[in-house]
Amino acid sequence: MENEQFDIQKELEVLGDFTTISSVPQPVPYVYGQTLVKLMKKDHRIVSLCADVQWPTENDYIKKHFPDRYYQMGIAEANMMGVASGMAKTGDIVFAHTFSAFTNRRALDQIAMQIAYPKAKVIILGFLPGIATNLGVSHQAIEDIACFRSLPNMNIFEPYHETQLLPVIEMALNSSNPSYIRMKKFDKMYTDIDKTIQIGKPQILKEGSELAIFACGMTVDIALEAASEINKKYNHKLSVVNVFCLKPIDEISFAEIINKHKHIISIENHNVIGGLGSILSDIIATKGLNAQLTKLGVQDTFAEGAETDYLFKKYEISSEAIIKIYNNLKKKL
Amino acid sequence: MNKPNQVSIDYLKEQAKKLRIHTCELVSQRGRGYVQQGLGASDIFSALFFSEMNIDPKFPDWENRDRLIVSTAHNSAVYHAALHERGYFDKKTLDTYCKDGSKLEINITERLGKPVEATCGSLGQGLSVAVGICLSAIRNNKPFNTYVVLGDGELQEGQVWEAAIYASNMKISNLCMIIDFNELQVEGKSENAIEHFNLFERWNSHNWNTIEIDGNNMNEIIDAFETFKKEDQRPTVIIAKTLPGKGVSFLEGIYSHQMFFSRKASQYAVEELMNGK
Repeated sequence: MENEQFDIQKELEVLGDFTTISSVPQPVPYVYGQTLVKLMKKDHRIVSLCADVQWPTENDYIKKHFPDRYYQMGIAEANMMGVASGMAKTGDIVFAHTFSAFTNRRALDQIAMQIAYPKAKVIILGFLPGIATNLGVSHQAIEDIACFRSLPNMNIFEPYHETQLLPVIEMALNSSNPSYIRMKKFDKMYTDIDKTIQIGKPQILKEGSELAIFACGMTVDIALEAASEINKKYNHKLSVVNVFCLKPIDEISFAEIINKHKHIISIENHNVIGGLGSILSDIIATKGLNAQLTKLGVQDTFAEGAETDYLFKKYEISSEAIIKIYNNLKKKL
Repeated sequence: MNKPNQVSIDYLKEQAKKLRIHTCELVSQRGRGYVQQGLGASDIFSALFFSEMNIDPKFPDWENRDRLIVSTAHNSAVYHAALHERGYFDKKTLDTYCKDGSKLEINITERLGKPVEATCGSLGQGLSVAVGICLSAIRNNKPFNTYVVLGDGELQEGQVWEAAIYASNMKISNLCMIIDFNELQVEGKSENAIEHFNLFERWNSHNWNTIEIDGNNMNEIIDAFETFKKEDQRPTVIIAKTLPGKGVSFLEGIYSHQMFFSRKASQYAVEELMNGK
């Protein structure tokens, strides 16, 4: 019996430290955590606020390094945004952390009045982007980009690769506007940083002809995969554009790329209303461009809790979906 | 009418044990989940489903059913287990819990249909919906009661207090809120995150019929529900102190929100539950 007890303890130890850590079984690389700590070392004004999601937002790492500059706000997002504004108005630079879904859904009024309107030096970090969580409809952010796009003064970033994380945060820090960064945890620490990206400008990852795929965040890899499949199979090079900055938008740079193509596909981990697809259709319509646009993404529906691979397949946020559209267009191209 | 007749405390304890066993098995199938909260709340869910609530599994949308909103929607293993044991669906359906495509999601959802009355999971919203149901029931002379389970962590959301003030102003005595006071939130034990000061006095001062109990003591749970039914002026809140991992010696008192829980660990837990009283 004593042996059995011992086995249980061992079994539990292997699984993680239950008493202190709830969500992290193995060491994680803390790509975001390390980045913020590095910045906090350089700038003593930076503080971190977190609405009871320490581990999912890598704030355990921040708390460990700067316990006095970490504020556990409780499960209270609206209050957090107000507090963030107050601190920013008093000289601090505030990083406020929660899940994407709880930014615009729980605290849009507070963000509008206390952060966007007065241009408070607040950077809002939303983790669990789009439908990429098994936690279901309550935790799936499908309209955050739409909400923040229509809020004056806000910047919106969605880095797709770990090498873009630091540059994006620096853009947010250097901007006179508050920012919303839509974050997916990265699983590998960067050794290099992407120095090519510029605020407001799209990043051309592949240059091709006839058809361009615009993607942001998690869908960029999907777009690259589809483009390489199509190149292999049909010997046709497509353009792939990473829209890591969803606001501000340098319309001229976008229009230049769009003009070189007959057809545009947008693919986003977000509702097709109000997100990346809408940004492109705005530009195409207001600039009078000729390209035809197909929007992939969540087709104005709520999703459900399931694994991300399953959901991306079901809601056609996939390279298969891009290839299907390509095949339908092939005759016209 | 559709309420089990005067069931014994022993029977309810036996049902709670079944819920605990299901909870362990369901969470371990997935490898991770809300096992601690489920074990802690099994006694409350047993009392609600097998004694207190006037419900009929054959007619989940019967208009005079007592309503239950689980604002702590992540406490889904024990809730779905209770639905199964009460006869809402079979074991095969229960075993789809958290699988791709299943309506038994990790956060309880209305995709499942009734008796799910609201999709919560975004914390702090359940009480407001419950207040609305109570107001409409009074307005339309509906005889049923509404129960809502909140976690103590949720009380940090401001909306809860908006609903609290409103509910007592409207004198909705058909409302019974159970605070599953397990002191457990994502960042661990709530005293290390955000502490609750004088919870009893706070609810009492909002003019709620405030009852404090050991939420793992079946007699106290049943007595609290009796006190609720005698109240005819104020909404009732039962502050039920529960222990995360209750019933399994090596899990009791571990404050882990979404715990990793292997099949092997579950086997030991189930074995202990089976052999226990």
